Amino acid sequence: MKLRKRISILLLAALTVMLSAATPVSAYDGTSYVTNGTSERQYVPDSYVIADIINNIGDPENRQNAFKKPLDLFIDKDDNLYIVDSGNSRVVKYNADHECIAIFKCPGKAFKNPQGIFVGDDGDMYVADTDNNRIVHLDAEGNLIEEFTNPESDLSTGDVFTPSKLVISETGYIYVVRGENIMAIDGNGTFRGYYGQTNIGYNLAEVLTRMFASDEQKLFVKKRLASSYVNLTYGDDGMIYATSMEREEGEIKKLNAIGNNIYRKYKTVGNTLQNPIKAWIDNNILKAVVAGQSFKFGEYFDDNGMYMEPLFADICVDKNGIVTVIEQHTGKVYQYDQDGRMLVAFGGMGEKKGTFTRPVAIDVDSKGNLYILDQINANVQIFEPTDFIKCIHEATSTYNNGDYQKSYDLWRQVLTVDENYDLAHIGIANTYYKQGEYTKAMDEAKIVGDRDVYTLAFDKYKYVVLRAHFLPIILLALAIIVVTLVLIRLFLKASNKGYWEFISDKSSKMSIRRGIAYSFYALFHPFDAMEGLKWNRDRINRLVPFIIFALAYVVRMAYLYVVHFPLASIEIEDVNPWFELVKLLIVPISWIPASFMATSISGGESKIREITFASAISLTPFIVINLPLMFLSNIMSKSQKSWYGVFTALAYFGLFLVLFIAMMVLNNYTFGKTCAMMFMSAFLMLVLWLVLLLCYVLTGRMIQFVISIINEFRLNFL
Amino acid sequence: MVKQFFKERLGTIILLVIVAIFVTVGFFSIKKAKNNAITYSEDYTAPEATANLLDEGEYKLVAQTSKLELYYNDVKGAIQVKNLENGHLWKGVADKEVYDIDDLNAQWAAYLQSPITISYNDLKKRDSGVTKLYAGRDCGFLETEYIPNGVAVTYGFLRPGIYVTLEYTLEDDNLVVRVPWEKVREDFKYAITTVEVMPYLGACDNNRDGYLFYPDGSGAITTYAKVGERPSNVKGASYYVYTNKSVSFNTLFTDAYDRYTASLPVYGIKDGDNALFAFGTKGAENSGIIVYPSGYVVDLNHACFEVYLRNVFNVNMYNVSGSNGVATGGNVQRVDKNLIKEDKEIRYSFLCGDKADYGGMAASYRDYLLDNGLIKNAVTADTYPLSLRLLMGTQKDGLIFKEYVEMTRFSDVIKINESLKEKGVENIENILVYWQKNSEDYEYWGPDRHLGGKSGLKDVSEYAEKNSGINVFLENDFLVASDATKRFNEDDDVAYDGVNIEIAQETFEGKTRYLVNPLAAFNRNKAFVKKIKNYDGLGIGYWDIGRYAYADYNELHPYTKSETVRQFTELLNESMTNGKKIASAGSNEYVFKYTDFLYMMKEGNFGLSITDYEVPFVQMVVSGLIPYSTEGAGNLSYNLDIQKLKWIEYGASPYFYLTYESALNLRDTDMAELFSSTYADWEDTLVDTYKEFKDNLSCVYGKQMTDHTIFSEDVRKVGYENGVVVYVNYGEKDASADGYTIPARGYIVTGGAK
Repeated sequence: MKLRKRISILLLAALTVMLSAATPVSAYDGTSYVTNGTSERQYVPDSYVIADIINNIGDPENRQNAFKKPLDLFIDKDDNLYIVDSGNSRVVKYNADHECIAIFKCPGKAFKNPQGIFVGDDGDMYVADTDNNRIVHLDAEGNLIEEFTNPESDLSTGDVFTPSKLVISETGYIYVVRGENIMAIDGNGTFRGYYGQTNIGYNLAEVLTRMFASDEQKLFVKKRLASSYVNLTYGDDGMIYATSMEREEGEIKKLNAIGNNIYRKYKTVGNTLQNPIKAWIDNNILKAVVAGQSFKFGEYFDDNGMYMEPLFADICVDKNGIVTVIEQHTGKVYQYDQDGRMLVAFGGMGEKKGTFTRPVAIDVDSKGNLYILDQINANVQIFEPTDFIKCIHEATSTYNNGDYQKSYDLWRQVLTVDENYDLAHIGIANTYYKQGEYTKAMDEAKIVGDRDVYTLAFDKYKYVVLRAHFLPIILLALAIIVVTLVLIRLFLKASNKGYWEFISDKSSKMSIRRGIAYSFYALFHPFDAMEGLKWNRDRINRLVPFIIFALAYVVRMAYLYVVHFPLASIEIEDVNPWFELVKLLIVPISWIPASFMATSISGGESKIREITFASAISLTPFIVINLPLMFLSNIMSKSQKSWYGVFTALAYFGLFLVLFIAMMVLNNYTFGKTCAMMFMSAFLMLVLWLVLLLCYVLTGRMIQFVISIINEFRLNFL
Repeated sequence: MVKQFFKERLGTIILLVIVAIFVTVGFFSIKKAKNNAITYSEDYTAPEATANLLDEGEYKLVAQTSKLELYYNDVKGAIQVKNLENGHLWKGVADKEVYDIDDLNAQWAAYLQSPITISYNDLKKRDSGVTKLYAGRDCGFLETEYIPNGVAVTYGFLRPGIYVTLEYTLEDDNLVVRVPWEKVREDFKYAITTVEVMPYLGACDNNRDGYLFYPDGSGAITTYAKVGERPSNVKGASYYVYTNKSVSFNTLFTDAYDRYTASLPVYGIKDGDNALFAFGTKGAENSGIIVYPSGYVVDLNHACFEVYLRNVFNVNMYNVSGSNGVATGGNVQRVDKNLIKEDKEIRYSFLCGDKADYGGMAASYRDYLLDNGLIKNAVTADTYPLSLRLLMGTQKDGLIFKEYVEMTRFSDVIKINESLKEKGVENIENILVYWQKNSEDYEYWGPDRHLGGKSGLKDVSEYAEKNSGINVFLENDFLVASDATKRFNEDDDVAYDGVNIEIAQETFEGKTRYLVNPLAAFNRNKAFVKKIKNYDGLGIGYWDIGRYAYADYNELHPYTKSETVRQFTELLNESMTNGKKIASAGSNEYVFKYTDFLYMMKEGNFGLSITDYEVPFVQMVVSGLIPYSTEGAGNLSYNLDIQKLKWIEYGASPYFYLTYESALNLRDTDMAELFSSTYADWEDTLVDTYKEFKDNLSCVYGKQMTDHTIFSEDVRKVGYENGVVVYVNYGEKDASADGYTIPARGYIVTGGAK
C-alpha cells in the first residue's frame, strides 16, 4: 500500500469526513511478509507451515478433555510442552511428540486462575497462581516444594501480589511482571528490587506543576508512570526479553543484567525537557501522517488498513537470539533478528488453521517450531519453519558471528527463492562493503532503500575516487566554483538592476521580470526592498508573488528528484504532491490574512498586496539555498546530515527573518511591537487553520447528510 | 417589479425548490418501494394439526429399479433407500438405531427425525431474523401423493402457514429429489427462504469407518475417526454454490470467497463399504451445502443440501430504523418479494465396494457431466504443457504521474517461448496478465503501447498460430469495472443488490469499483471478441467468469443467479463459436463445457478446523478431459520440490508466474506479491521441470484420475484409468506404501504402460 494513499485515507478518517458508505479495499491476503519498518508489505514465501494442532489432552472419556481458558505455555529444554489450563486449574504436560504425559493440579490448595509458568532445567515448575496471590514451586512430579507470597518491601507495601508472567534466572531469582516494573525475588522469597523500568524523562508540564501547584493541587495530579510490561521470557544469552506497552523506546526490550534495554530502540528517552505542544502534535496528528516513515515493532496498519498500536501478548527467543512475538489484536506473529530487524510476519485473525481468535502465549522449541496458544479457541497451533526461513535464520546468525562469506552465500540462497527479500540485499551489501566492492554495495543497498549501508559504502567510495582522480577532481571543483561565482555575480547584478529599475521608473508598473529580480534583491537588502514595496505599493505586480510561490514549489519537487539517495527523507513514490504543496505554502499563504488582520487592528499600514509580496519573498531563501544544495547533496551522504541540516535550518531562518522585517518595515513598527505582532499573527494563523478545519469537517458532514437522504430515497426499502 | 420580487426572495425560492425536489423524489421513491413491497393477508388462523412426524409409522416399498428400492413412511413423511447390490439401507432420517434420540432435548430429537427443515422471515418486520422450523416437530400437515417411481410429499408448517412439496423418485439408479417452486404455498405473512433436504440422510456416528466429503476448494474430507483431535467448539460449515451467498466486494474478493464458495454442487458421505454422493442437477445455483461433523450438539456426522427459495439480504444501513423505530446501526434483513422461479433437483448416487469413496463420487459426477454434454474433451497434446502466467506491466507511483513499469513486452513473450522451444519445451499455455492499456481501470481492450501495442500483439498472435503446441490467452476481467472505465455506464451496467444499491467499493485511490451486470459483461466480451477477431492465434483467459455468479437487481436487466449462469455460458459460447480458445481461472461447473484450459485451480481448501485432509476432487472430475494447472506457482513457493509434488498429486501442469524483466522492478508497485519472477533466473528450472514431467508423467496425461488414497500425513497414492499409479511422499524421510519405497520429497510411477 502506498504511503501517500494511506495518508490521504488517514487524513480523511481523522477528519471524520467519509463521503461514501463504501468500504476501502482490503489488503492483499498474503500469508507471510515483511514491512521493514515502513507501511508497505513486501510479500515473501511461506515461512512457517502448520505442523500440528493440540486441541485437548487426548482422553475423550475425560470430562475435562478440552482446555478451558488456557493462558500460558512453556517449552522446556527437552521440548516438553506445558500448558497452563487456567479454567481447569491445572497444568498439562506433553512430550516432544505432543502426547499428553501428565496433568498437574496443585497439591493442597488448588490453583485459582493461574496465568503463567516457567519450568527449570531440572523440570521444576514455577506457576504464577494469580488469584491465590502466590507463585507455586512444584517438582517435576508435581509435588509442592514451596510457595512465594507477597515479598515484604518498602517499595511494594499496600500492593496486592497478583503474579502473572514470570521467569527464573540462572541465579535463581524469580522475575515477575508487575505493572511498569519487573519484580525480582530471590530463592528465599525476599524482595530484591525492581528491574527494567523505562526512563520516562522529564515533562515540561510536570515541572511547571511541581513548581507552581499547591500541595493540595499536587494531590490531584496523576503520577506519570512508565508503561506497563506485558510479558517476558528468558534467553539463552541470560538476557530477559520482554514486551511492554511502551511506545517511546519500543515495545520489545532486551534487558541486560542491570535492567537496561539493549534491543533496537525507536529513540532513547533521556532527561530532556519535552515540549508538550510538540508531544501532542507528534502523538495525535503526526502519528498518522508520518506513519511508515520510521521503524516500528509490529506494523503501522492492520489488514484492514487501520492504524494500530501493537499489544505483544507474549515473546519467545530461540537459541540464536531470533525474537518472535505474537500481537493480540491482529493475531500476527512478528519475527525479528538479533538486531531487531523484521524477518517475517504471518498469521492473523480468522477461522482457518494458522490464524487465531485470541492468541495469548508463544514459545519456541529446540527445532525452531513455534507453539502458539489461543485462549478462545483453546488450542495450541504448532508452526514448523520452512527451509526458506531456516536459511534466513542461519544467515543472520552467521553474519552476527562474523562469518561474512558464509552469510553471503546463505543470503544468495535466500535470493534464489525470494529476489526481493530486503535483509538478503542488505546482508549482501554489507558483505560487498566489507570486501571493498563499494559500488556493488551501494547498488544492493539502494535496491532496498537502506541508507545506512549506502552511506558507509558511499563515503569509502568517495575517498577511493578522490584518491584515484585527485587532480581532475580538484580542477573540476575549481571550475565549478568559478562558474558558480560568475553566476552569483550575474544573478546579483540582475537582481540589483531589477530593483533599481522598479524604484526609479515611477511611470510604469512592475514587470514580471523586474518583480522576480526585485524579490531576490530583497534577499540581500531586505530593508530597502520592503521600503521600496511600501512606497510603491500601487505599482506592484500581483502576479509576481504567485510566480515565486510556484517557483519555490518547482524547486521543492525538483529537489525531491535530485537529492542524493541517502539524504532523501522520503521515497519518490511516496511523495504526495499536494501534501508537499501544503507543507511548503501553508505558512507563507496563511501568513497573508493573519498578518493583515493583526496589523489592521493595531495601527499597521500594510495592505494585502505588499504583505503577499513580502510573503513570497520569504520563500526566496528556500529557493536560493535548495537549488545548489540538491546538486551538492550528490557528493554528500548520511554522515554529513548534520551539515546538511544547517542549510535547511537556514532556509527556515531566512523565511522567518523576511517576514519579521516585512512586518516591521511595512507597518513602521518598533522592534518590540514587531515581536508582539509576530506572536499575534502566529496566533491568528492557528485560529485560521482551526476555522478552516472546522468548515471542512462541517461541510463534509453536511454533504454526507444530504447524500444519506438521497440514498434513502433511492432504496427500494420499506 | 417581478425582478425585484425574485431578487429579494432568491434564498427562499431556492430553498423551496430544493424542498420541492426532495418531496417529489421522496414521494415517487416511497410509491416505488410500496409497489415492490410484499403484500400478505392479515386474516390467518393456523388450522389444527393433523400430522405428527415423530410417530413411528411403517416404511413401504414405493419404487424400485434394478439397483435401488425406495421405501416411504407416510406417517413420518420420510424415505429410506435400499442398495440392492449389497443390501445397505440408507435412512432419510436418523432413528433410534442410528442415534440414542431419547438422550436429546425435544428440539434436537425432532431435528434428527426431520426429513426437511425450513427457514422463513416475518415480512411485517423489516429487520426480522430468520426462524427455523423442523418438520419432525413443527410439521402439522402431511399429504402424500404416489407418483410414477416415487412419492410427492407435502409438508405443511401450520403456524407460519407454509407448505412445501418434495418429490422423491428413483431414476437411472439414482434417488432424485425435486422441490418444485410452484407447489410452495404461503398463507400468512411469513416468507419461506430455505429448505434443508434430508439433513440426516446417511448420518454416521464416530464408530463408523468413513468421512464426510464436501466441496471446500478442490475438495475436503473430515474423517469420523479423527473426532478426538478436533477443538471442543466444533462448528459446522456452509458452502454456497458458485459464489458466496452475500454479494459485495468484501465477500467476493477476499478470503470470504474461499471460505464459503463451492465450485461444484456436491457432497458425499462414506459409511464403511458404502457411500452416498449427492449432486445438484437443477437450480444448483441457488443452493448450498451444509456440513456438520460430529460434536456439534450431537455426535453424528451429517451433511445436506440447503436449497434457497428466496433471496435474503443483509443490508448494512446505519440510519434505517428497525421495527422498534430505532436506527439499527448495522444489518437489516430483507427478503425478496417473489420466490425464485425455478425447481430444484438433487440426485443421490449410492456407491458400494471399491467405488465407495471420493474417487467413486468424482467418477459418478464426471459420468453425469459427460452424459449430459456438460464437459468437453479438450486434451490434444500427449504430455503436460508448461503453464505460464506472464505479468506484462504494472504501474508505480511517480512524483506527479504514475510511471508504467514494463515487465514483459509482447516481443519478450515470443522470446520466452522461442527460447523454451529451443530447449525442448514444446507445449506451453501462456496467460498474459495486465496487457491492456489502463488495465488498472479494467479496460478489456487496447494492448499497451509500452508493451508493443497492436503490432506487438499481432506478432504474438502470428507466433502462436505458427506453433501448434503454444497457446496464448489474453486474460481479462469482465465482471469488474471502475468509474474510469471507458464505455461503461455507471448506472445501467452495474450490478445492484436487493435494495437498489450498486455493488461497489471505494479504492484507496479515490476511484469506485463496480461489479458488472451480467448483460454488460456479455456485451463487453462480445466487443472484445470482435476486437481480437483477426488475432487468430490468441485465446481468451477469463479471470472471473468461472468464479463468480450472482443475482443482480439491476432494474433494466435483472438477473437471478441461474440466469446469470446462463448468460455467462452464452458469453463463453460466443467466444467459442468465434473460434477463440478459452482458458478459465475459475472452475465453477458451468465453464467445463467451453474451457480448453483451466488455470489457478484450487490445490487445497480454506483450512477450517473440521477439515482433516484436502483432496483433488475437482481435478478427478476434469482429469483427462481438460488440461489444468493449479494456483501454486513454482517460483512463489517456499520449496519447489514440495510444490512439484503437489502438481503431481493433483495431476496438474507445472505452473510459473513470471516476468521477463527483473522482479526487483516490482518493488513499490501493486504487484509486490510477485517477489521472485525474473524469467532468466527461472528458465533452467522451467526446462528441467517440463522435461521431468514429460519423461516421467506423460503416461498419465490425458488419463482419468480414478483413485486417490491418503496413506499417511505425508504419503499419497494416485491411480489412473490406464492402471498407472503414482506415489507421492512429502515427508523428509523415505516412506513405504504397498511394498514400494518412495524417496523423501519424491515420487514413483508404477504400473500400467510405465
